[in-house]
Amino acid sequence: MQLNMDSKKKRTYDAIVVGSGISGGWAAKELCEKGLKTLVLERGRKLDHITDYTTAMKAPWELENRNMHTESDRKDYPIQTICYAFNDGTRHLFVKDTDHPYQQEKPFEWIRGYHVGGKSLMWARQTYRWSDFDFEANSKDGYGTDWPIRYKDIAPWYSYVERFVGISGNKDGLPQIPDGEFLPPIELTVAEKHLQKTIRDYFPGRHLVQGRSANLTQQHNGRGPCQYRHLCHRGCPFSAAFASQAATLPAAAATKKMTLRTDSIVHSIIYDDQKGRATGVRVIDAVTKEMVEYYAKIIFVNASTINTTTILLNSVSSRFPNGLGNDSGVLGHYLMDHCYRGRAYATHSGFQDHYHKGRRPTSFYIPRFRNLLNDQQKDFVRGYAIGGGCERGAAWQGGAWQAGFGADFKQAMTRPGDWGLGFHMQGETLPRFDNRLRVDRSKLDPWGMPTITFDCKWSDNEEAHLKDGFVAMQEMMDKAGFKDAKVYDSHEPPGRGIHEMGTARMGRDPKTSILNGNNQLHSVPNVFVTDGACMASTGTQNPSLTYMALTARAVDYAVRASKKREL
Amino acid sequence: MTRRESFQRIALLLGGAAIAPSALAAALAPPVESMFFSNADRLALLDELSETILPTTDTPGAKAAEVGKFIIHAVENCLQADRKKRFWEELDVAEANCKQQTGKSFLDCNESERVTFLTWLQDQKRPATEQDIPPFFTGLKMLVLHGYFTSEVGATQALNYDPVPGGWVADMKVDENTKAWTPIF
Repeated sequence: MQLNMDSKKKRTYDAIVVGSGISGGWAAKELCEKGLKTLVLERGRKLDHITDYTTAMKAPWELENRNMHTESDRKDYPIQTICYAFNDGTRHLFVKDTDHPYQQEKPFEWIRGYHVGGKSLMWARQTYRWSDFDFEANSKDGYGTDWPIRYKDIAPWYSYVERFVGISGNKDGLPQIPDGEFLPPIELTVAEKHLQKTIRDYFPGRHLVQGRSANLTQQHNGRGPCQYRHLCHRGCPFSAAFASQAATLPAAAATKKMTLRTDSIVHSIIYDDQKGRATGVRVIDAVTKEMVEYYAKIIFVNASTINTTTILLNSVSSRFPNGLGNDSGVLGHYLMDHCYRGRAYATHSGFQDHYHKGRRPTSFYIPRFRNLLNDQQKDFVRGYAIGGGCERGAAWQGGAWQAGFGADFKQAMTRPGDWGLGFHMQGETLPRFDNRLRVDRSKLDPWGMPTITFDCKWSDNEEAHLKDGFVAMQEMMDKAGFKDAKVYDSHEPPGRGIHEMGTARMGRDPKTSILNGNNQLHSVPNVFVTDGACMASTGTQNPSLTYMALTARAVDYAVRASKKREL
Repeated sequence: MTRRESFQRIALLLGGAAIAPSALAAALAPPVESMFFSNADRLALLDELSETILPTTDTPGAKAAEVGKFIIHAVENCLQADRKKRFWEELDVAEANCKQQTGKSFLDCNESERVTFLTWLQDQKRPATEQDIPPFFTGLKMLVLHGYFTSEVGATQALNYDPVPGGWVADMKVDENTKAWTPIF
């Protein structure tokens, strides 16, 4: 009995964080810096900063398939290969789909990285604040439930995380993407400045700005600066691209309060009926497949949207037969992703004597301009942002379609190509009850966890965004003198945006939401969810910055409440 | 077009990207009986075809960059099975056409015969029903260009290789002699 007590004591911490990705890393840092002995559980393998970035310095000819996908890639990674960042240099950062099966009642492309840092290693690093156009959207048009917070509640936390992360950007003075604490911007190309001016002159309400990104344009908190290689997704050996193991986890480790346990798949959260509290988590060791329990007074679930909700749904007790905190029945519902189906590309034959040097880690961004201020649309609610870039590639990249071969052809192929413009819409997706995931206990994964079935599709509002966006993109390209301008629908299903959000949403009313305004389960006050699962709407902005800010804010609340014995 | 997208489009055309797997193979004409080629035979033929497309000039040509070896690797490992089969068949057909037109293997042709034959090959079009599929010569050129410009020789000698730029210059003046930066993705 004494042995058991000792063992239990050894497995007891002040706080547990499930997941080491972009939000889990923040939870770990904040909890540790506030003095809490914190256990961080990562389902994937150890992946150390720099030393485990095995491909970071490889030249193109050192990659086995020179960045082409192979037949075995398509067989083992049928979903992951769809991700733009999957290639010879990053293959090892994506899950083998064959090892991690799931069901698609309707197509849903679930992109995953199971290792320390999660997708914070391969993310695209675009970082925009939300505004009250987003936090008030649900209450204004009636789709979804009202956010329990407003911009003023999160604004200081945006500043707090931006100062630590280091965000390159301009103060653009646009209300839909409030300005933040920025490092020096990364200048637009000549062709982008031309497009920017055309848009400013001819399309009132639209603005082209530098894509704000979590890349360090100067040394910052001992990290960086960026070397302009744009190989961020292989892991940045200069610590200039934000990733958990480059920034938040080292900060947590420096406090000597953090224990990071890898290969630890959280099965469920332990709920104590008498206490009315969660007391810990059950963990499956990914290697031995043994189950072990860990205990803490505060639990942060940051396993990434889908896995966070899976853990909650799998945490059943007599009090919560349908999943932890799921009195409302909405757990697993209101699954969302940004809709990136709308694309365009074009070339420009001007600016032939201009080029650029270096490979920048960002490009440009046109924030939402529909149903905003003076713009009111009758065919749809909310709107879309447009991301993109305009650079010169190398002539050979499109050279196969040009006639010719031989010495002159070769010479021509070594030149800079035409200026190429790409646009992609980032459409807001409405929260819909029918878009959901559910756990399938009849189909277990190799570790005995129930698998996920997705049932999710785009709605008419997203289709209406596309229709409008195609016109908007075409007219901007035409007005700016681009040629061969083409708009098209990628027809991709939800998931590929890798902005999966919702399924355990925040809200004011416990009858229609899972989390309150502090990201705390309405009915289990010592469990917090601050990853994408908490989102009550999608906005049009890339969401990671908001997850980070919500996490720091929730930890601050949790620790204060804990000291007051309110948890 | 961003770098990311430009890569994706190339990969897609090469049959590398999963969004629309391998247009290349679909590229190929109705299958014929495969004749006699082993990969060793193919290597010599692909090297000579590649060298004719990207010859040695003031910089090394495709042969020095071992483009033939790359193409065999890419076709064997990166194309889907049916498309792989078709690519090799169309290569055989090309060699057969060369023999028919010149009376000898492409390997034994002199330079002007090679140019004449490739000029003919370049003019071969797909039937109207297959217009979305690149013709064989276009597919071959994709592989040759990718193989050459991602090789050490092509990337560092034919282009301007800058693995660690250390900074971003948004605007630099160039003239008609400026080499492109080597794409690294």
